[in-house]
Amino acid sequence: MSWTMVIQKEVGDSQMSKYNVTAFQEGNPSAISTEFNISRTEIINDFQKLLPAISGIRFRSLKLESCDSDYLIKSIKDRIRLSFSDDFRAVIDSADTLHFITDDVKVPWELTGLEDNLKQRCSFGISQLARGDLQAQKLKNLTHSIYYLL
Amino acid sequence: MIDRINEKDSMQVNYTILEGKDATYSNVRRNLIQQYFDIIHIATHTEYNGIILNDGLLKPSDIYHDIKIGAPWLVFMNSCESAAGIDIDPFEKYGELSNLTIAFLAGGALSYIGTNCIINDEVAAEISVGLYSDLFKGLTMGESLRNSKNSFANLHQGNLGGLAFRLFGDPMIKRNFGVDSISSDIVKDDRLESNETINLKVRVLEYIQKNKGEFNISKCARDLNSDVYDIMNIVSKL
Repeated sequence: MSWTMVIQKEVGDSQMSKYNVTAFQEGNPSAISTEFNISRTEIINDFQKLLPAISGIRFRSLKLESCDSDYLIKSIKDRIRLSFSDDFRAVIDSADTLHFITDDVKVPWELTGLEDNLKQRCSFGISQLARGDLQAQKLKNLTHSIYYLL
Repeated sequence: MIDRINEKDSMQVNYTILEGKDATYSNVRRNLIQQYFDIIHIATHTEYNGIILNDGLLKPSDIYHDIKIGAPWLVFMNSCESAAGIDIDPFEKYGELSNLTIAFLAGGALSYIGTNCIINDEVAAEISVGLYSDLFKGLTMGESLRNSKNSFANLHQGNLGGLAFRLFGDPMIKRNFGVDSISSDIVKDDRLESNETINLKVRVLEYIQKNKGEFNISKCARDLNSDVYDIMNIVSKL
């Protein structure tokens, strides 16, 4: 089964970040809507700690903290997955293909489809969705231009 | 080199290779504007603000304007941190495009594969060879990348290198490369190569075409009676 998930982050950067999800299954006109909260900053920070282990390249100039990469991967994956509702988690677990369309590409969403042996269970692709506040930013710029022209 | 590949294979593989002294700012831009490529494969050094070429930096805004005319089906930016996440609005920063991923996708590329960290040559080589062998068999983009990552994980227990690669775009897209012609653009930052290296490269390319889906660097080195390191070096730059 192939699923497309539209995942949008709500504006605001508190400790827990709230996301709204609408999931569509290919060939099925109905959609599932849900929401979840994740500790985005912690997840991204932990993923940054993991990057030297993924890269496999060490630089003397880079101060590396010793970390158990397998534990970190599992921890990040669990923190994302456990925030999902049971229904939504079941969808993720049963999908052959996942296409995340999101305004927050910095979260390592791919890890949600990773098995314990670190193999990717399903096909995964991510697409960038313009931030919700982009329009507001454009309007702000436009206002400045008009002001300047006047 | 291209003629020899085409002779050996039923597919019409058309390559434009820009490497060494040819991988210049103006040459790359001219090719992007004047030709349509199904696949653009870039194996070079990248920085946050562009692709480092022989004589300068190709900026995201240049890429965006150049590929709009005939956007590729796949861009594989096989270089360090070519898909590292950014926290700003990726469409606008200082009034211009600020990210390679976004430049290609906003320019119309259907899919983009990049990395979220520094990668080494071995990972870069094996992931790309695995990906292309499945893509050319007609698998979807998502399946091809997944299989390639999983094969890498099988071969190199404990090596997390495959996790570096991210696919931007719909994982369901695929093409029938057996019917269509394949064109690809390979940009490399190598110094000029010897005739011996070029000959070996031709043999490796023929070998890859002949053994679609079952390419193994060690076996290839044995079959071609060559050194594993030399094969890896060639494949990493494909």
